Amino acid sequence: MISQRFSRWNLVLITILLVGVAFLIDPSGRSSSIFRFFGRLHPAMIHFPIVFVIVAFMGSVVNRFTKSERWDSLVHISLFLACWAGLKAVFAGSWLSQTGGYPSDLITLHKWFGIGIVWSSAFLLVVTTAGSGIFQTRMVRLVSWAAVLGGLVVGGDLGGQLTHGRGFVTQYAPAGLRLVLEHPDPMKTRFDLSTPDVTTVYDGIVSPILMEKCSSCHGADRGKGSLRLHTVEAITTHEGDEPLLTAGKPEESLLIKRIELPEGHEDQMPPMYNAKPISHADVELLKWWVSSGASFDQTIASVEMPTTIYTILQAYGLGGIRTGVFALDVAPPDTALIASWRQKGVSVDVLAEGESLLSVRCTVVQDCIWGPEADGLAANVTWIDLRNSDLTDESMAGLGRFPLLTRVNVAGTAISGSGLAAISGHEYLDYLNLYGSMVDDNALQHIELMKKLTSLYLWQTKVSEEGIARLRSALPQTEIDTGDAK
Amino acid sequence: MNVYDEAKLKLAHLHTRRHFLKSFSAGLGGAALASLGLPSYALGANPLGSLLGGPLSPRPPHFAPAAKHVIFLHMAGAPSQLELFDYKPILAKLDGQVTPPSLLEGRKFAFIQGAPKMLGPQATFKQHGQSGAWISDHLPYLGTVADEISFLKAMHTDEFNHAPAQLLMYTGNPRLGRPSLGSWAVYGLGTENENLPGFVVLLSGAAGPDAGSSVYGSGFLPTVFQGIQCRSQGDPVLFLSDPDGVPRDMRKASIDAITKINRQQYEETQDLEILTRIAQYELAFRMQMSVPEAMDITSEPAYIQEEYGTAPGEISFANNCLLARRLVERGVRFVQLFHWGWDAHGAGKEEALNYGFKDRCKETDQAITALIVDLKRRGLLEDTLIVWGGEFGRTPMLENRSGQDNPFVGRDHHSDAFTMWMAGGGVKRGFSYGETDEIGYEPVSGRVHVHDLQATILHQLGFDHTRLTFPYQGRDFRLTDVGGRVVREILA
Repeated sequence: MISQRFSRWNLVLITILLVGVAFLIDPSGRSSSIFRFFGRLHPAMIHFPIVFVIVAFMGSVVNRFTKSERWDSLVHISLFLACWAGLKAVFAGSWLSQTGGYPSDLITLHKWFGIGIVWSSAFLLVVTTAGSGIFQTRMVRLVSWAAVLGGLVVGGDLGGQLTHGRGFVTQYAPAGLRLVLEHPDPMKTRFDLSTPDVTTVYDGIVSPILMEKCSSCHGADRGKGSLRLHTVEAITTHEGDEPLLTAGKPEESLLIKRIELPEGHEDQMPPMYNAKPISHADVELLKWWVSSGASFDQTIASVEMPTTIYTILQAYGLGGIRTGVFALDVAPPDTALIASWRQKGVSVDVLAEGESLLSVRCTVVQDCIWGPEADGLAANVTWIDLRNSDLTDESMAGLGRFPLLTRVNVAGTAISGSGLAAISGHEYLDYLNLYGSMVDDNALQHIELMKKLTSLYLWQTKVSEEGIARLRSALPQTEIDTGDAK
Repeated sequence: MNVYDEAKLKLAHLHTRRHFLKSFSAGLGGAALASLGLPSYALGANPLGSLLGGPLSPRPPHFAPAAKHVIFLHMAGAPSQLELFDYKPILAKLDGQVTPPSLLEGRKFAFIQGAPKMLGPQATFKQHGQSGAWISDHLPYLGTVADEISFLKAMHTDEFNHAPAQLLMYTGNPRLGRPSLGSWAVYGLGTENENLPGFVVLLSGAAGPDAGSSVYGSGFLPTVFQGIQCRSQGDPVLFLSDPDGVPRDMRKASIDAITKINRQQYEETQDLEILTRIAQYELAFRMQMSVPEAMDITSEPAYIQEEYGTAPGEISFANNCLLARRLVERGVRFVQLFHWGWDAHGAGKEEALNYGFKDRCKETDQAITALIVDLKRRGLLEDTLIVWGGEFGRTPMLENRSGQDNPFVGRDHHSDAFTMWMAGGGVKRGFSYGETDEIGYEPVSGRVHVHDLQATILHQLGFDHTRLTFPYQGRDFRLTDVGGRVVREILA
């Protein structure tokens, strides 16, 4: 019914009109109210071409399976209607975009997808009506269909994000699917905060700000006012009348002073008319860097962080700052071993979601310390609670195999102290609870070696007062609680 | 109709088209996801999914927790901060003067009408410990542990009546129907001791909290997470012991049978409340043995009884403090104490700052101090967060309802400024955050809203309060509603 000739002229006309939309409707312009009214119908209009494309697709699928050409007319008419309905939607969409309020990167992408879909539908009509020749090849057909259908999915998703906000579609998707589908969140990618114990404040936070806000004038290509801020060398070798950075004193650092000049001041940086404005949060971050020493090698985790800075960085995706055992790269625990450990009556808790470290509790220590599960998971256990268990000095030797122990609670056990030798060399041990156990002064030689200990509980033990005094001088950093009211 | 026919009919009802589609599509979706090779937690992203392994089984929090247990000491009726912690010498100078209208304009009070007189502190204050915390002579014991405490001196709330303010404090909302703080905690973490409830409530004083059991209810969470009230007198938990003539093994057999039937029913209907019911029957059976043991304070040595000032066999706040320690020692996540009688309006002897209020201080001071000391020397304070406070504060003005000469002194409800404190559980020691003006009327810095307090408590338990949610009536709900800021300033 629709001839090859007709569909070619159709393609030409559609192309001309699409070029018209693309270049004649200025996205920053203001449309008159009748166009605005028409524009607001865009969300309703886009459904028509979608339906026509689907009908056409189903028709051609049926044709293929029945090996007939019975539905050809349906396919052709549907595609013809699809491209004109689509063109209408593109016009409406362009006028709608003039009302403003949409993120410009998304809307540009969405617009070009819309234009692409309409043009591809017109092209597809040419392909499907072609009797022979290049258009009749299987490859061209497949690609054209894929362009139209794929374009609809992606373009539709972009439209969804425009109306409902980024991440609307993927918000409730399962975590794995989300990883595949989700667009990277600009708030999570601006700064490098994933390893705050390794990344320096300069590399992770300061440099990205300088590159984004300053380097177009003060960077590798241009050095206005003979200032370049794109590398550590450029910053440290800068010479000027006033110091660029004064460690600890943002108010005496030119970098900060220029940024903080009042609006409209001729030296204000970034300059009002030809640079991106700098946000209050960025200024706070730069000041924090300068006041904490303007260092190029202090890590994010090592710098004292006021609440305001923490709040800003948290918005940029800073998680908890990891230190001690949490900073280590621990292999995930074997879940089968955890299950069989639990079967034997050992309480095993994963410290937190996605964490590899375990907290373990039991009253019968044989399985807890010596079993095959303990062998397999010893490198994951960081808290162990053996309160009131049947632990002895002999069985305690097994704790020597748990290198990452930070908290050991052996309160109320029968250990006398020699068993502590097993954990005296543990690097991360920070909490040791011996309250109500049988330890006496013989235990001190082992406890004295635990230099990282921050709290030690010795209430109701046989450790003598002299022994306590000895410990206090050997471990000045440790808070030793003997249960005596102070 | 006989039983068999009835069962067949019931089954047929369940196999309706809609039911089939529902279970079919869920199963298909799950299978599809599993076949995509997604990590298993992706399937458990639905908060309900994680409950299926048993609603009380332990679950990891969002990040490594600073505290594993919470003991919330609620002084129901709202104690006066101006007589305990918020020392205002200037208020003493203003005592007896008529409040200037500028302080009253646009204000609404629960009882005060007209122009009240200012009321100076009804206590003597001293600084305690190395931190120099101001604590009044009403709390002589607490002063000795001042260096363990972090004060929040500029708390504020939205409600100035007891029941809504208590609901806001515990459920994040002044109206009924939301889950309580302890329920959220157990929903998030499960229980550590499978023989005891995860959330225990202990009441003392002449009455319960004004808002009733809703302040420890589970709201729309499965009821297995509600607070279980234990009593220090009589049966520790009501309706727990076996009925007369039913021995324990018969009880066991019947619970096993009921559980089987309930499981079947659950498989047919997928109703989470059935899992709750199963868990509760089984827990109740285990609790028959473990609760009397845990609740028996007479087994504590005499010096401990003396330190706390307990009165075994009676209902007392001191007993409850000792119980709180015993429960935390046994792995209970959340222990909620309510001590009633702090509503010191001055309208009668029991509710006067110069009589009843002093008695309340005496009833609680020694036991709270003993609780801190006892947990500390056992090494438990490090991972147990103690929270103390009322539902709001009291006005710097005298409330004199009758308008006549009144031997009783009191203050009205005040929602804009009050003091709470925390100890242990990863908060700073010997610290004070927030400040009120010279008369303790308005916060001037470090304001902490009730939602902020809740966010902080959840944070110490390892939760991001914005992510601990439960889907209900079409949207995800959370304890802190749309508010809440973790008070990082007080974290160690």
